[in-house]
Amino acid sequence: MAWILRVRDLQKFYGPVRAVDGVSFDVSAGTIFALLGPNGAGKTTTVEILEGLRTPDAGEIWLFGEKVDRIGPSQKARMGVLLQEGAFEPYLRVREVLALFAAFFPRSAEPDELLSLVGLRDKARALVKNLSGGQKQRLALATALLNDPELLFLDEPTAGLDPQARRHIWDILQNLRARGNTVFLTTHHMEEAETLSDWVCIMDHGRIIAEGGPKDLISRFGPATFVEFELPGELFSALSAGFPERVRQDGERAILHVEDLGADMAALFSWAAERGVTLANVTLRQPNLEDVFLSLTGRRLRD
Amino acid sequence: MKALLALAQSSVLVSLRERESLFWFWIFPVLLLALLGTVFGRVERGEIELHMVLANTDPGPLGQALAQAFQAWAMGAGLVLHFQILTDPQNPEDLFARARTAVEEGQVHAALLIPGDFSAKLWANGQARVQILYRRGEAGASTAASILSEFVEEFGRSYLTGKGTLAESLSVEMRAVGGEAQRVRYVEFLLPGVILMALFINGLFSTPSVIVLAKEAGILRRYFATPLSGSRYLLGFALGTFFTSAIQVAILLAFGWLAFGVRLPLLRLGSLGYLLLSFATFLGLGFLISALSRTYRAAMALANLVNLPLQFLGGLYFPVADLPDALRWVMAANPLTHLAEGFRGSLGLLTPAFPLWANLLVPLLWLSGSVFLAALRIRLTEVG
Repeated sequence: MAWILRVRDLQKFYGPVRAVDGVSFDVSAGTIFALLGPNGAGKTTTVEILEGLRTPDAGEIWLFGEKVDRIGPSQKARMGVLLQEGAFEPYLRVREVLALFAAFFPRSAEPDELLSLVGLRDKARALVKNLSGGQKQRLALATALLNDPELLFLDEPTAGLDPQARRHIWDILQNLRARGNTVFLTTHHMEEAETLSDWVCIMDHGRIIAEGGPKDLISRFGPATFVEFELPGELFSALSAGFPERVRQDGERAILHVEDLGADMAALFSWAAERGVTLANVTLRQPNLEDVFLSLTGRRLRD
Repeated sequence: MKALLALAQSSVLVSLRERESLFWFWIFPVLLLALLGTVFGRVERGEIELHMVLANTDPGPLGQALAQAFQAWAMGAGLVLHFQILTDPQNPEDLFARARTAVEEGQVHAALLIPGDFSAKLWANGQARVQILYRRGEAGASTAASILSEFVEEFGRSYLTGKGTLAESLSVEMRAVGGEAQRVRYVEFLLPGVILMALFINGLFSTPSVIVLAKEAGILRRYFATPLSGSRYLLGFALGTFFTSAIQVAILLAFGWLAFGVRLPLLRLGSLGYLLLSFATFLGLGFLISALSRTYRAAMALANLVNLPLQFLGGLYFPVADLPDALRWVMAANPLTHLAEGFRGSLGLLTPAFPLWANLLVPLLWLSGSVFLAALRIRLTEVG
């Protein structure tokens, strides 16, 4: 598949801090690409370089088939951007914000259509300051879509949103991909990357530590199956002793890495019965990108 | 152009909707004009003190008594009223002519003339008439004339009645003389100052507060992720500020007219030129403050620091000639001094103390210096 964006050895340092430390990847046209990593991994710095908001210290960027030294107006006219910490003038109305942004582009979509698309049609006359967090994020998405962008950068697009609002945005992004738009997503939300993306780059401490399709990454780095259940904290070390190097604690919950489902479950229930422990809220789940990140770094994405 | 107009329109809408800017940039200048205009509006600029002269050509005792009463009253009247007595019994005609000239040339506000037959007519129970001359079309002069008239009447009541002479036989003739060129009312002097103040506040406070807040909030970052460039943003912002300033000027002109009857002949090339130069100079200062300030608080602190000396030593509300010598250098370097002088001069409200080139050069130096430094220092996003 043809790439729309190619990055090679991108670097950005702030004094001794290597925010982006030699990052390389390709983004294929018509796909959803996710840059996944914990806060502070360098995702936002990377994406802001690609949006033309920061200048890199080193590295090469090819965008829309051309090598570019600096992301300028002609590239920006073909891109859509949703910033992690972007904001709009609080005393403008929703439709006025769209009209303002539409004026920045050579051509733009009909604002009312976009408002319908993001579910803000009935808020067209509302002042930005009176919108909820989710509504502001949907407005941000609408402004990012105004110029029908070939490449859409979304930096943590669902951060702080409730599950329903998050699903709504996911639906929109999937529809965009179906229309042939390319989406570059940065997120620390593993479910988002896993559900939406065709290709995931996992980033940590300014570097890409793994990349591939989400299923591929999970099968490459993630263990087979997990059993999760509630367990009082004082019993955790006893469980660890019973299942060495296969148990980890997540708050009130224990997570057991299962290799042979039948045998391991039988062993777990007998361990519990011997101690008179009732295993509550037992769930069986497949591994995910969170587990991949954990196995690669020993840390969790949200730490 | 589409982007510039859209930015300008947004900027006007925001300034009309935001409560704080609504007060400071729309209501405050009108309030200031109303307040100062009401307090000082009844007197003329620099004429809170009234000067009067008495010319006595009567050799008799009553003329002398009137002159003495005048002198006694003058001594007790304090600093606001100034009196002078002209005497030259040898040339009475010449004395009247001197008094008349003093009134016509504006050296005094009014003159009281006592004719040579004043005592004689009163003793004979005839009609004695004193004349009060005052400068035509000048509120201060008519106030001085009324004061003199009251004084003469009081003299009639308390002195002539006591002497057994009929006070009714003393009459006063009021005559307006000279004053072809009407002098400037304080409100007329004030209104251009308040207009400049509104533009000044708009440039000095509104500009950095909008730009720095937009920068802090991430609004500018979002703008610059589109093809919009920093220079086009600033141009669009300047255009918006121009529109809000034009509306401000129109509101102040309308208020000045309706409340105080002041009609400024603004549609003159020179006046419009000074308005435009003022707008640009203040906007340049606003850009510079935006460029030097990382945060909104820092911007407002810096704006206040600049505001105090410039606004209050710029002759916006009172004539700068009244400043102490130590502050005159601040005045001479202050762009507001020159803009206010030049603007008022172009409106025919005063004869500028500084030459035309100085009134243009000083603001132009401020404008080019601010824009140059702002261009060097401004970082609209935290681009690194």
